[in-house]
Amino acid sequence: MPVVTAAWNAIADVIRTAVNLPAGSHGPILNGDRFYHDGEVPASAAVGYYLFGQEAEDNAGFVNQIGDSATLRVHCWADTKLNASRLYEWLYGKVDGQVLSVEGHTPWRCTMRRLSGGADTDGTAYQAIAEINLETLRG
Amino acid sequence: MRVTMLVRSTTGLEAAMRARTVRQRARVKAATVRSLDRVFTRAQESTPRDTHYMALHMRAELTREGYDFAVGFRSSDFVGQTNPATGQVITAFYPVFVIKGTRFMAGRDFLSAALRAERVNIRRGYARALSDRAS
Repeated sequence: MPVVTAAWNAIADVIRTAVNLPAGSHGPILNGDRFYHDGEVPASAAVGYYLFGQEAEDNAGFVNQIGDSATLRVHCWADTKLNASRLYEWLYGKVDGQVLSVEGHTPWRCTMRRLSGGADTDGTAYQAIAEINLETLRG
Repeated sequence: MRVTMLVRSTTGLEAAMRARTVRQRARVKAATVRSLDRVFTRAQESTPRDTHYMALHMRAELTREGYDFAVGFRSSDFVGQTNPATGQVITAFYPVFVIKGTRFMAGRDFLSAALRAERVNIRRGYARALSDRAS
């Protein structure tokens, strides 16, 4: 399995297995699926959800050598800007500073930052764009 | 209001402030132009192409008296303009949706990717410009 695929799976596991889900003033924010990979969002999918997006490896690649890193972009889509921020903050609490271990791969330290945000084409949904950096801790 | 979608390199001005001679400053400006050319070329290579309108309207601009640069798009080149390939008037500054994504499609930030890919070369170019051994 490509390392970057394993990285996405590790993030997906964090979201899939979480118990205390993000909530707004009107209750839970996430829909039942919680997240989608790019190109797999059903036309009927209701916000909110996490949409896994662009990935980038550093110049040396992301190949299980100490210091290697990769960045993954996660789009936090919700019905309001506030709820999009709540999705971002919830995921930040789950992954920032955490060490993820995946069988067959080295541990990674995650750091997460907010890049930007924006509205959907029709202005009925909003996103916060997050970048998760994964740095290989052991070769 | 002028809406833009640009990535900016700001290391050239830093290099210019470290320059001690007129010749070094001139070399920093030349390095900026070379960096702009490389980033623009990389961004062009990875620009999604459907009607080619977006790729054809990518801007490459020198800023801060020629010491820095920006690559990207301006809304005035899109909103209200007619796409010759379709004959239709463009109603939205759609590079924003390509780069940031929509709720059904993740963003493809080819501008930031191009700048990131050239970051090492950009810094190397300025270091060479400030070197006394530069010709």
